[in-house]
Amino acid sequence: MIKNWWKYLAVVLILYCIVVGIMRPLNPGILQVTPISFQSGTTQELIIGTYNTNFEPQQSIDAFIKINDAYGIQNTKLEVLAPNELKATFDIPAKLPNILKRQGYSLILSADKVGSFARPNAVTIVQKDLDLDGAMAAWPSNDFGNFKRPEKLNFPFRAILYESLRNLFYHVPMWFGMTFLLMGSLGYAVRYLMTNKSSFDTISKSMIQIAVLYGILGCATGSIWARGTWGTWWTFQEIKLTVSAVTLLLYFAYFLLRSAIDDEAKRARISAVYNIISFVAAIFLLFVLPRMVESSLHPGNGGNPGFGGEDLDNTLRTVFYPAVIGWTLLGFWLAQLTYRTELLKDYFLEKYD
Amino acid sequence: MYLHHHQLFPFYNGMKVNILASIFFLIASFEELSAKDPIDVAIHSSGKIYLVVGTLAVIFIGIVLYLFSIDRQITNIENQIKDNE
Repeated sequence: MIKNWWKYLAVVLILYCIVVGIMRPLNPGILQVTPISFQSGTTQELIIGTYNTNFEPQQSIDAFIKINDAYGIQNTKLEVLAPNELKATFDIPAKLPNILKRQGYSLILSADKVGSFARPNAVTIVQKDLDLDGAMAAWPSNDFGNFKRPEKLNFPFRAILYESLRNLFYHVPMWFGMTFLLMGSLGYAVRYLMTNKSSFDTISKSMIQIAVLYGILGCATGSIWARGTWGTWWTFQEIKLTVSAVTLLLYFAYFLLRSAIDDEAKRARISAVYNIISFVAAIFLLFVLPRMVESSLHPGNGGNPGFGGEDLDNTLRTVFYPAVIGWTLLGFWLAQLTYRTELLKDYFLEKYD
Repeated sequence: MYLHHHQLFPFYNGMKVNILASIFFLIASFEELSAKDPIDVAIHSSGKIYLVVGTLAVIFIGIVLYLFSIDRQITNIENQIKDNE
């Protein structure tokens, strides 16, 4: 076995998550549609602005306004204005198979090479009179199962996030790494209490130091991401920001506690006990409380769909899991450097005193 | 009329201020970018890729600052060894 193999693994995985996480393109998506709202029973020319499509003039493209799972309106004419702009003409029937007078419908584009992609609530159609049965009888049922598939597996296109989706590989692993380091630190705190070996206390403290560094980096990177997507650097209305700030304060207090006690054995014992208590509090704050509140902008919290659903698809997983392992291993590496430096300090302090 | 950069930045007097000024303008331009409508940002600034650049830069700076602190501690130990030899 190569010595320190996990450090090399950390380097390889982080390199992988930076290179692939930046280089792999996003799937195409629809940025905007004009006009956004119109009446039924009219002919509409929709200008559709797209992202990452690179349409060519002669490319075969179909556009649909999806009414529901069985019914949709297909375009009658379609013109490529630019690599990322289309003009699609739709004849909107007077009566739609829908009992709502005013409703937002998805727009679906299906093209060779780039595959099919949609924008939910892209257009709002206002019906003059409602006639559900008449509309159902007059409309043929579309088959929505035969959309073209993309040639390559790229990262998903998400409205508002766009390219910043890639922050999943850099911001989120900070918090995963912090949690694993706190777990490691807890393990060594327990071991210290069982054996009273002072080196376990030093390891425990070093891991918390890096966990706090990761926590601060998680807050700072999250702040940048929030500014570009939610429009604010920081808000206490978002539960996850509040609980992560409180968790960091808990561990700042750990260092205050340590600096307040002079006696070595006493300091190690008390901080180990504090470590166990604050770990329980941190788990409650970071993993229980955010799921109990009603709303949160973070995926997986407060009624927001989480990992495993639409938020983390398989193409993201192939980079996200290695990223979590890589950044976590780097955290343990940094903690080990801290520990070894502390050991050297202690050694020379005893030798020369 | 041509302005020399000393006139544009009257407080300019060396490297330090220059770095501070660049950081200020970096933040100012960032602020301007993110203040626009999200769709404009998506179209005109390569779809918010600057958020990823900022994130990676922050993580890099954080780890480098940590390395500096370890570096300082090791230097202290080395000085201690030298003093006692």
